[in-house]
Amino acid sequence: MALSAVLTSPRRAARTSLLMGALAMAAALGGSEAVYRVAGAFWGAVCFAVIFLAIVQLALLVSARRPADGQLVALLAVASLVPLDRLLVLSAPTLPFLRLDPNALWVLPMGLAGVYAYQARWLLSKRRPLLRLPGPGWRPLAIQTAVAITGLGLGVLGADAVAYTGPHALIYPDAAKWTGVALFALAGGVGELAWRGVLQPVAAEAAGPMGVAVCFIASAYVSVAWMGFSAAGPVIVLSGLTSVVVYRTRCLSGAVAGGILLNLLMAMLR
Amino acid sequence: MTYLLASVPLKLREIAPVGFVPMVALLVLLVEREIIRARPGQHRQQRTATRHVLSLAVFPLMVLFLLLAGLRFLTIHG
Repeated sequence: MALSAVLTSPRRAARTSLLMGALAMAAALGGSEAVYRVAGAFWGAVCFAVIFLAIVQLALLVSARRPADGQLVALLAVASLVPLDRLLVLSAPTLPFLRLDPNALWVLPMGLAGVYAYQARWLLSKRRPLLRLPGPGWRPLAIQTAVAITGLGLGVLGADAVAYTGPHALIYPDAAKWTGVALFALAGGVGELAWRGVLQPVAAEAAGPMGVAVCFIASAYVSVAWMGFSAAGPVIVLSGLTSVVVYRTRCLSGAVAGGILLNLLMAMLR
Repeated sequence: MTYLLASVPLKLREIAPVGFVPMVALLVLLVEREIIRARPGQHRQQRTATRHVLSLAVFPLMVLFLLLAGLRFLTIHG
């Protein structure tokens, strides 16, 4: 007698359904990106807002129908951060005086949302990644320092590799340029906090290493969509490294420092 | 900051249509939160989960709204 996958392996079936959900979300996000490129920022933002609201509604529906399934509710709630990120990037006010990156203001609501979600106890049943060293001794410190130094090196490399003709932060520096640089640097830390500190642990709890991989792809996507392929290259490399390090060490400090240093040097030196 | 705003204006006297999209989403979520709050017969656990999910969704959009309102106030009265 043939048994269904759900009966033979519930965990495997759950992973399969999560993968299907991730694929459906990826298709919706891809469609929204296409709308943004073809029809402009307004309709792109409308599509991302619809996806964001749909995921929130789904989380509410699951919490109403299956109150005991807190893990799925948490996963859906943090998955809504991906379309939210794109919605904020497209709709945050553009300030011409932030000359290096006029739309960098989206970092503030996203950063505060990341901090809020990181502090939320209901999202995780297990211990969350720490923003301080996980234990005594030189080894944890060495690992986190190595990640931060890698971010620094990738920032220098990115600044050298990315073609840029706009205003330079170090030539005729003024408050406006430094505000832009500070927001751009903050975006690196915010990204690591949101994707590695919030989304990854919840995804890993639900789907193991596959959740980590999906989270890495999500973070790579938002980087490319915001910065473009060439500038996002070093960010994606660092994301790959931090995904593994945070998953293995459950410590976030090196990842956040590396993200900030990468963006800071890329904005300053390019 | 005042010098900065005077020398390079924020250009927020006219809000771009795209700026209204998150505001509409925020409005939808706030209305929904009030509807759910007024609905009787929910278990405590269910109500808590609903409140958490909606708070996480509302919070960044509210921050964006306050940011936009603050910048617009600065542009007009700064």
